[in-house]
Amino acid sequence: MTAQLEVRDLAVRYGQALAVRGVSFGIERGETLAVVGANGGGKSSLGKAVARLVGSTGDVLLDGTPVPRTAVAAVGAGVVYVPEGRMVFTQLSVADNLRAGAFSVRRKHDWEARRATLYERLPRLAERASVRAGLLSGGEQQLLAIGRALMAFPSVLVLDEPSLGLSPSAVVTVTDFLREIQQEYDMTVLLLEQNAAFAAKLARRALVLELGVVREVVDAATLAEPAPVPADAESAERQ
Amino acid sequence: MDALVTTILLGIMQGGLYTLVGLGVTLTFGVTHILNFAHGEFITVGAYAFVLFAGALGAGLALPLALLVAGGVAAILYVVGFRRTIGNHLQGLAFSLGLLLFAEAFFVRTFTATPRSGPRIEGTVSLIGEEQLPVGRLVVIGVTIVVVVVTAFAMRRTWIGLALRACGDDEFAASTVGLPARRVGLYAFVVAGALAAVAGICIALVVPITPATGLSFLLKGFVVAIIGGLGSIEGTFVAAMMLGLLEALGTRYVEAGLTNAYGFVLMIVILLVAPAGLFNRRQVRAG
Repeated sequence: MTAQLEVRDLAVRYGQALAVRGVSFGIERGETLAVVGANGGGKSSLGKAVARLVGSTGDVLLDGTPVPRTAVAAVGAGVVYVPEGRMVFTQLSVADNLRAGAFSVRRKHDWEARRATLYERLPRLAERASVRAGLLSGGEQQLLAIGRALMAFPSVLVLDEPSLGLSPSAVVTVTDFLREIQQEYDMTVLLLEQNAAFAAKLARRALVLELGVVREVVDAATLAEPAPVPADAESAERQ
Repeated sequence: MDALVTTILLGIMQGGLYTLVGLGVTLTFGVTHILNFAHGEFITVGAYAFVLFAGALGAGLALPLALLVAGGVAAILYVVGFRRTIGNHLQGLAFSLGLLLFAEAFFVRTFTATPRSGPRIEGTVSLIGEEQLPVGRLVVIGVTIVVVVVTAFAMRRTWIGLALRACGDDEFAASTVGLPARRVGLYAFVVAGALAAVAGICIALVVPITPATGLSFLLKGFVVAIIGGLGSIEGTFVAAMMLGLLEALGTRYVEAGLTNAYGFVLMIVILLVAPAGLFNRRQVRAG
């Protein structure tokens, strides 16, 4: 079986600094691959490079075809990134946040139907459809950010630290939502996460990224035990 | 009492013009983070285009042509210049200031500094008692209100409006969902140019225009955009109406020589109370 998303020898450079140095991996259709590792290890850069939000060298192939090199075109090709820290459009209503997610596919897909199904799944957001997104709780904003990405009809979803700064109950809600939508939309997920316990709930395999290189590929279940990375120091500091 | 009604109507008219100019400033700043000092020149371009086309082809054709010319000039300037300065405030500042000086000189050389009148709407209407108000000014009030309402509606309901608001809200987030920021910047400039042209046409309908017409409105446009909280449409409208009314009332009842000072006093007072402007919610981000 060939991987749906294939990353070969990916490198990201900011000036003199190499954030990602020659990373390769493949993800099967419908699989969730976690990338774990300490802050500054290159997880975010890796995810942004896959979604073409930062420049990189090496290849990113989707079903054997190179993912186009601009962010707009990558979204069009089905690779959509959910930013760290949620970054919902705080001054736009919940409904407009979701509509903005559909901008690139507005003529190609029935985005209103998808928004309706998202509302069914997330009644809390449906109730607050006309509320400014900046007024939502952190957990609701995270669900909205994921929902906004789903509005672009992705086949590959790149999730950057979705559990960061969330309360334990919000983390459970986000986990459940991610499981459901991945099933429903048959998506491939690249999960960049420093909370190893959270990663273990969603992924079967995990790459351990250290200083921009893959140190090892592990069974994600082993991450759930004594956490190999200090997960909480940084997330506490970010709140 | 009679004079008060007239004064308030004049204030609303002025506020409507400031809204049109301020919306352009706030839109282009919101999306591209360029504070365009040459924005007032779009007003002048629109005003002269209207006056010249009206003389040659009649006012009916001159209206859309003036909008087209100003929108087109804005588009060209964005593509060849402003677009390249995005992300570099100093370059944007230098480019827009250079453009402003160039435009002023260009207008003086081409059209001379002599005031020019376009088609005027003649006649006055009587308000209560002795007070008379020129019909042209009432038309301007009507036009600005319609254009502001249509713009606000389009910002809410159309895809371009949504793209403008989303890119203005969070540029990086907008890029993650495939919003083409550079192209949305072009939309912002075209819309801003056209709104400025509407202001220019309105000005030409009620007073003679000169090469400096745009510049005097630009400063007020900046004031209302800043008071409103850069990036906010409602804020710009509220601030523009406040400024228009304050100027009209102050000129009539306090001291006419201070007309241009009222706005800046208002701005200083409001910024002391609300440093981010009246409607700036950018800092609000629930954790």
